[in-house]
Amino acid sequence: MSDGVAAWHYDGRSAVRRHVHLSIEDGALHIAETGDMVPLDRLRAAGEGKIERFGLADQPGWRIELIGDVDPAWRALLPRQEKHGRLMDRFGVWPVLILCGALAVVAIMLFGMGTRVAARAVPLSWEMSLGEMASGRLDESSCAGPAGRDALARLVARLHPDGPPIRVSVADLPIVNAVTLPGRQVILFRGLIDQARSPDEVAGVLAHEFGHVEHRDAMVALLRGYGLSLLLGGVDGGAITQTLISNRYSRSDESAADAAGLEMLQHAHISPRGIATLFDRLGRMEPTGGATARLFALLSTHPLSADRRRMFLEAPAAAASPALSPADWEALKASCRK
Amino acid sequence: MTDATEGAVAEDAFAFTGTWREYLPIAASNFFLTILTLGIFRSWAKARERRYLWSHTIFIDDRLEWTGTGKEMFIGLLFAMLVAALPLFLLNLLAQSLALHGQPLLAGLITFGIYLFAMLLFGFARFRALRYRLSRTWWHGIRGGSDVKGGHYAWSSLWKTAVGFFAASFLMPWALTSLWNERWNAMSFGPHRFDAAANTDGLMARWALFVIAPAVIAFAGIAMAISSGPALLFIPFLLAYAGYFVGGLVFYAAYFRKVIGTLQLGEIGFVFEASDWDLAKLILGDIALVICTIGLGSMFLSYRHWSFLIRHLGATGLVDLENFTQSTARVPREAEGFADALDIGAF
Repeated sequence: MSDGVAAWHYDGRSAVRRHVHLSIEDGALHIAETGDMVPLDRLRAAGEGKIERFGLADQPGWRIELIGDVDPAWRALLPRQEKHGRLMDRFGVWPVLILCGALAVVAIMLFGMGTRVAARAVPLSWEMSLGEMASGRLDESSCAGPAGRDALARLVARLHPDGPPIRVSVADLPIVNAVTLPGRQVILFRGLIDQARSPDEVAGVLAHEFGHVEHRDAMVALLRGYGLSLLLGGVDGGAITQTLISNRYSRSDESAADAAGLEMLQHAHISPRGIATLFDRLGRMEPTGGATARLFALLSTHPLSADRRRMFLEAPAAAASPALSPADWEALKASCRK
Repeated sequence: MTDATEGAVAEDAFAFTGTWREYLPIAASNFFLTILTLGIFRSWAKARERRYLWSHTIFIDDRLEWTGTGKEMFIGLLFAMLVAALPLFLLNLLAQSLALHGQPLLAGLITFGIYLFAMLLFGFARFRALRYRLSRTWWHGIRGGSDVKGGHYAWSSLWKTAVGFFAASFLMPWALTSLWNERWNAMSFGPHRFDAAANTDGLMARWALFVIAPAVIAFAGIAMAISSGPALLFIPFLLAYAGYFVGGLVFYAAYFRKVIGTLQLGEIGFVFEASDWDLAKLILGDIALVICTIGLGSMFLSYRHWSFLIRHLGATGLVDLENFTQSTARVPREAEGFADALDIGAF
């Protein structure tokens, strides 16, 4: 038996396992039993952890596995076994974890900005037809009293005097909420108008929704939702990540819409306090749990933090006049009654 | 010098030598990296996990080796998303808008089409995942694989599953075993084809238990509740769930013993020796692990399942190493993207 380091060897052609002895000569691995000389730079690591196994890139199945501990002198000459993967072995586990964390933060920010830019790049006509698709039958359940419609149109014109028109309709549903859909559409639900005590309260909610319209938030949300589900679709823990990310985004959307809404209210000389009083009152009568809670969706989809509340309450409202004349307000309230 | 080139395979030919302590750093760093990279690392995490699991799995006298890479899995996943997930998403959008615009019939037809497409994809993905895994699994320098593309299997999977639901789903054991046979008969390792010949003998009674027991318990419970007041209605439902769980366990334990026990590779036969109670302990352990760690323990599930499989796997027969030559099956490049995208396993 020749001297040398003991190893197992497979030739990749049959499953026969050979017990061989290795030596290193002139930068090549010499297999005593087969007489093969393999240049060291052709070897690649094929083991795992402490398993010292080597293969050849161009000869699938060809394997050498050293038996027992490896001589340090040999270790320096042979390719190192991968432990955690190339990147982590090179830079360490912690640096890579920290780097990935930082990259994740940057990626989330870029994704947020990217969807916003992409949403702006979508032609308005596309967004309009998408909006048609999204609203669908809601239109058919909208309240169509002509007097109420005129009153609403006057309120919309006062809040949003210029720029491309915004379509606002009242849906005959008892939900206390308002939504912005793609295609510059806002839907007020009858429940909101029923709960409002003054036109200023409705105007406050409308102005906030118009803020969403101006920022194209509905389109952004659509792209975001699709993008996230595509990116994180099948990921373990993806649902958690997805919820975290989209909550983070929608909170910043909400405060941006608030700011825009506040500006519109001030331009239109409507008191911004309405939205705060509405939320205060709804908060006091909020039912806990069950189907009724869902009807008060405004509270959960637009939670009024102390900051937001203060912003609306403390905004100057000196030259304000009611958002609608008493007659128009009555007409709007009556628009869903048959 | 050559090892013995021919010999009988001992019953305990398979062994698992991994330990959870050794695996913990791999699992934990995989878990966190996957979250921190917003899921992109997942493919590399899987490759790394399998490298560990395979290299700690011994068959007769040597370990398995996994040669799949994270990169190929990631590319496979992207490809699958493009050709499968995107059309499914768009069709779904179309169906929803048609439903909203008062075209329920058309919307229903499209939804039905989506189901068919998804079912086809499911079968295709399962086949391809198995083929990919065998092609990246090496033992004694020899790998497995398949030259069959899987399109035919996808159709079989669709119609056999559909037929399986007939007759109050009593054809399901037939569908499951016949699909298992079809899948494995297309696979090979080294020079040998797998030979799968499972039938439903001994499975039907257990399937009946699985299907009927929960329903009987639920009906009995409802009848009891009607006579004694609805306050305790949750108890029969709880019992029905328990019945469903036990029935499923009892069926699948027998199913795996059956399909693995009738599998042959050349002159090697396989055995799966997990008892019903072994499988119950595995699943209950899974549930306890995940709940007690508020979900973090889920990073250990694949380790638990693999080690369970290997610990209960045995082999019989003869291996002739001299004639156990290299596989000539083509090496697929697209990894298991479809299975990944749909989140299904290979077995």
